Parts: sequence; structure tokens; C-alpha cells
Amino acid sequence: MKTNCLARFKKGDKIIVEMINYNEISYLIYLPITLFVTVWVGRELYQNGRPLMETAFKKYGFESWVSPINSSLLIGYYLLNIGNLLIFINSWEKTESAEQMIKAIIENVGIIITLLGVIHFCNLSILILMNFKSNTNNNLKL
Amino acid sequence: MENYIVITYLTYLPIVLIMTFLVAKILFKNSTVFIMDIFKGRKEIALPTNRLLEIGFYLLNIGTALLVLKTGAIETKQQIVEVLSLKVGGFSIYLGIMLFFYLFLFFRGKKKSNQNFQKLI
Repeated sequence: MKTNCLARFKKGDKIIVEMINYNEISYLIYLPITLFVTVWVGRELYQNGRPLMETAFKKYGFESWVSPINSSLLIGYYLLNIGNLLIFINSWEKTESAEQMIKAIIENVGIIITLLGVIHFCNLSILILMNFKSNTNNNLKL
Repeated sequence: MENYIVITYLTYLPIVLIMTFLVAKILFKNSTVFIMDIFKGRKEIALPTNRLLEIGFYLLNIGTALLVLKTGAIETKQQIVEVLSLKVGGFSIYLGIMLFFYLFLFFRGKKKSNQNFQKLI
């Protein structure tokens, strides 16, 4: 359990390489990948979802709400997903070799990306359903 | 080891407080648009209401963040990373849910204010 450093050097002795703690290395690889994917996907959705939102909100009389709602949604998306990927670190099994480490990293990144896809699909389907509604809403113009 | 627990607390608190302040700032900068729409542009009611909602947001979230501070024993550096990630991640998800709850409140307010207006006509 006490394998906190990669290699420990002793004075006047030959180099003693202790067991490498693969868990810490895998956290260091896993976090940048997932953070980058989350931030990048969020920015893409923020920019490209805007026209869809504008047409959908016009049918409900919420025209002035588009850009505030868009940025609030982006913040909520970041909070939920970054929280998710941080919590996933906790369910990491103990890894003892490089192969296990690579397998664990790839599995966890895959889970995170799949979750992102599912959330994205739900959001998109709500917006598209809103777009389908006929334009008979009696919105109030003051 | 006691030292590790103190390190965990001292990293957890700034992260959580900064996160709450950033989210509240962004949300309530944007929500002036919603609240002006809900109160039909009556500034003297709308802006104080926005401020009250903001204070409520701060109180709820900082209170929750402080309540879940306590941890069990921490013995290795790896455990620091794990405990910290669980706490910060959980708080982040909680904050996201609160944000969407507030957005839901604004949408509901808009609907209600429209209904009342129709009744008056």
C-alpha cells in the first residue's frame, strides 16, 4: 500500500525501484483527456445549438431568453459533466500493471464519452420536439 | 494521518467557494433578462427580487458545501485525490441540479405571469 513514489533512490546503494503506483499515473492521464473532451463538446454545442434554439423559442414567445438560457445551459452542462468525471475516479479498481492501467483508462474514458452522447441526444430531442410544435401559440406582445 | 486531512480540507474549501461564486455570478447576470420579462419591466420590483434569489442561492449552496465537509481517515496521497474528487464532483453535480431548478423556476414564473395577464384582459 505504501507505494507513493515512482522510484526511491538510496544513498550508496543500487537503485531500488519500488512498485509503481499505476493508479496515480492513470488519474493524471485520465483527467486531461476527459476534461478536454467535455470542454470541447460543450463549446461546439453552445455555438451550433443557438439557431435551433432561436427558432424553437420563437414559437413559445421567449425570443429575448435565447442567449441567457444558452449560457446558463452551458454552465449547467459543465457542472454536471465535470462532477460526473470526478466522481468516476472513485470507482477505479486497483491497477497493478501497465496493461491494466491502459484498459482502465480506456474503459473510463469510453463511459464518460458515452454519457456525454446520451445527454446530448436528450437535449437535442427536446429542442427538435419544440421545433415541431405548430406556430399557433398565442404569445403576448406587450 | 492528520496532516492529510487538513490538506484535503484546505483544498476543498477554496474550490467549492470559488465555484459557487462563479456560478451565481453568471446565473444572476443572465437572469435579469428573465426577471424583467416576468415582472413586465417593472424595475423597482424585478431587480430586488433578483437579488433576493441570488442571496438564497448563496446560502443554500455554501451551507450544503460546508455540511458535507467532514471526511474519514486519509492515509495516502492517492486517497486524498479520491476523496477530493468524490466531494468536489458531488458538489458540482448538486450545483448543476440547483442551476436547472432555478431555470425551471424562471420558466414557470414566465408562464404564470402570462396567465395572470390574460386573466386581467
